[in-house]
Parts: sequence; C-alpha cells; structure tokens
Amino acid sequence: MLPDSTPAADARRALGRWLGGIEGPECLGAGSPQALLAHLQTEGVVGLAASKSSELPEDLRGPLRQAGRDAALTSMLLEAETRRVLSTLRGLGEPALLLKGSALAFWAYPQPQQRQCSDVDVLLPSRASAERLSHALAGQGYSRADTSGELVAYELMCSRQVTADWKVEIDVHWRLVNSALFGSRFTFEELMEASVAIPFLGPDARGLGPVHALLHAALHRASNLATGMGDGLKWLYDFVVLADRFTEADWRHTVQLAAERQIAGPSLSALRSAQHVFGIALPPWALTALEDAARREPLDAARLEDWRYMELQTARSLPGLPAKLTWLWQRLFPSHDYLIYLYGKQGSYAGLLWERLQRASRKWRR
Amino acid sequence: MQPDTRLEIPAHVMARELSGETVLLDLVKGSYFSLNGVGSRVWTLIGQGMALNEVCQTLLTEYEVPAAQLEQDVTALAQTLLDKQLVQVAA
Repeated sequence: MLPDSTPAADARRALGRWLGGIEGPECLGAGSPQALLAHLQTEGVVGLAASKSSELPEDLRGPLRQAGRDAALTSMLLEAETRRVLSTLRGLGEPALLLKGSALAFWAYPQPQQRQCSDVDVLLPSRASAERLSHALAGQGYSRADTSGELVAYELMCSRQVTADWKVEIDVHWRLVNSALFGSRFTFEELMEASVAIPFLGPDARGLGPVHALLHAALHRASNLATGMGDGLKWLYDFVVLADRFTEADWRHTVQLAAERQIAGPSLSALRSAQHVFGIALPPWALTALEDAARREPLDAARLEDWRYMELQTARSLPGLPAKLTWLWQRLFPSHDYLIYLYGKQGSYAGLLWERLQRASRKWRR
Repeated sequence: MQPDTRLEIPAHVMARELSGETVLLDLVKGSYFSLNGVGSRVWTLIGQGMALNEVCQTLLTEYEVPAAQLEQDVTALAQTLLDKQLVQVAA
C-alpha cells in the first residue's frame, strides 16, 4: 500500500502508469538513466520496461536495452534451472506445480524476461515429496538451507552456484503460502486439478490456473506486506497480466473462492493496489462482492502492513497451545542457516540471533 | 557450407527475443551473443528447420536487397554461428 504522496511514491506511481500504458514516458520526468535503472531494479521491472524501451528518449533507450539483455540472460539461466528441476521431478515421479514468476513468466507474460524472478518456486503435495526433491537436488550440487521451522515456512531452500557471480535458489514448497495464517486455504489436489499446462517448459510443466494464481499472488502480498515487501511493482504487475486474461466466469470464480476461503480482504486489497498503481480496469461488481465478503472475515485487511497484528493473527490461526508455542519458538530461534540467509551475512549464531531479537523488539514496539 | 545446408539449434543454446533483437546464451560456455533485426529473423527461420537457401528465399520476399548480397550475408552469419557452436549442421 502506498502513502498518498511522497517523492518516492509519486515516482513509483508514475512508473506504474507508464508500465500500465495509461500515460506516456513523459510522466517519468527528467531523470538520469542511472536513476531510472536503479528504480527499475528496485521494483524488479527491468525486463518489463525494456520491452517498452522504444518509447523512451535515446539517452535512456541504450542503457535500458543493455539492462534488458541482462534480464533476458538471467531469465534464460532460470529457465534452464527450471527445466532441470522438472526433469528431476519426472525422474522421481512426483507431481508438482510451478508457482509465481516461475510459472507466470512462461504462460501469462508476452515474453518470459518481462517477469523478473530471483528463484524457482515449486509446490509439491507433501513435506515427504519436498524432502525427496531436495535429496535429489543435493545429488546435483545443490545445498540446502533449513528454514526457520516448519510452522514458520513450509519450504526447503536449495541453492547452487551456477556461475562465479550467479547463485540460483530453488524454493521447494509443500503448502501454497509460507505463512501459517494462509498456508491451509487450498489443497494441492484442488490446485493441480485447476492447473494450466506450460508448453514452453515442456510437456510436464504445470502452473496454477489463472484464478488460483491471482489468489496466490494476493496471499503472497498479504504475507509479505508487514515485512516491507509484497507491494513491489513486479508482483503487482502479475495482477495486470492475469486480470487482462480474465473472463467474467473467472472473476465470479475468484469472488466465490475468496469468500469461501475467507481471503476476500487480502484479495481486494491486492487488486485495489494494482488498480491504484497501474490503472487497470476491474469489474466493479467483483470489487463490491469482495468488499461485502471481506466485512465478514476475521482478518482486517486494512492492517496487513501491521507486523504485530499479522504475527498475532498467525499465532491465533494455529490449532491448540502446543502448536502456538512451537511456532513462537521457531519464530524466535530459527536455524543458523536461515539467519545467514535472512540477513545476507555470515556471523555466529548468537550474534545473528541477537540481531534478530533486536529487530523483532523494534517491530513489536512500532 | 552448401546452400541446402540445414542447421539446428543445440539443446545447450537458449534464445530470447527482445524488441528488435535476439539474445543467445550458450549454457556450456556461459557466453552470450546478440543478433540484430535481420539476424534475429535468420535465427527464427533456422529454428523452423529451413535450409540456408530457403532462408534466403524467404528474406528476399521481406527485404529489398540484392540476392547475391543477401546470400553472402546469410552464409557469413551462419558460419559465425557455427564457429561459435551456437548452431550445428543437422544430421
């Protein structure tokens, strides 16, 4: 969610309006190529902007085209890793669904490099299946970093140094969303039943169907807003490409599922944010129906950015005191690997844990 | 290289079309290569399984260029791609 008017929010909104096609590049104002590129990198939309580079003045076009080539190279490297994972899954006989950009880039976007990705996300039916894939990937040179605990993040993170300056991460999920608050809203079986083929990646590749993909994007955003992430333009633009393909039946199904699974509030919040930034057209009746359903939900979607509120909601969503206490323990004392991953630096367990406790304390007091 | 030579794209070479160009990545060598507009079109036609003479015939209908010049340019590009192992002669 955006504050109404700060220079950063205005620049972001201008970028959104250009990318959304409602305004010409003049709305970006006069800035240096370096400043524009830095902004695009921060928002994860270099590839998307590069596809519109012909609209820009010459001094911006050249640097952006070069950045677009780099985005295409990264996209190809990720595609190669995705194919490798799919081939491994085929060997294991495990059904799987590609998630987020790992799927959308290859079926929803006009060109894969338009959807910037930093890793490959794959969903498996169970923890046991995820362990099997992780074990097979270990045999191919991937190392595994344990997450904070299975009640905090339903995923295994496997990474491999591909080139001297490029490391790829495969996030192996066994629930659709990492947060326990939303993790059980959909089953793997129902997601697989409504999934779409991704022929670009081969005959076995499948991703979430459009309606599930949109709801997942909304839940991903809702899980990340409180950590200061989640509203990046690259994620919000997923709503643009999905909404663009939606039929009235898709919208009806979205509203029905969102109301049924009690995620109308986060869904409405995400759609409104995308509408605010990119000016996309959304059916008013669908927004009204989501608004009505959101009023009946226990989660207050106006507080998705409130870290303390979201942590409490997550604790409340867990069944029974033992689960709540286990979650709290895992939240406070994650593995050493996970702390290194989280803060992007090496350090002793005690030192990183101290940093974590200080950060948590600051967030709690805020 | 003969006019009826067919080239194919090996599995370790990936390509992406950008606005007006194609970026090629050799996964084995870790090197990349960029093709301009006409080069991109040649790449696409090679990918469709056309022999070099068929590529030239198609391009002659699309661009106003002398046939001899076109054949020379297409052959030169094909040789460069072959030298860089971004394509291989089809069996």
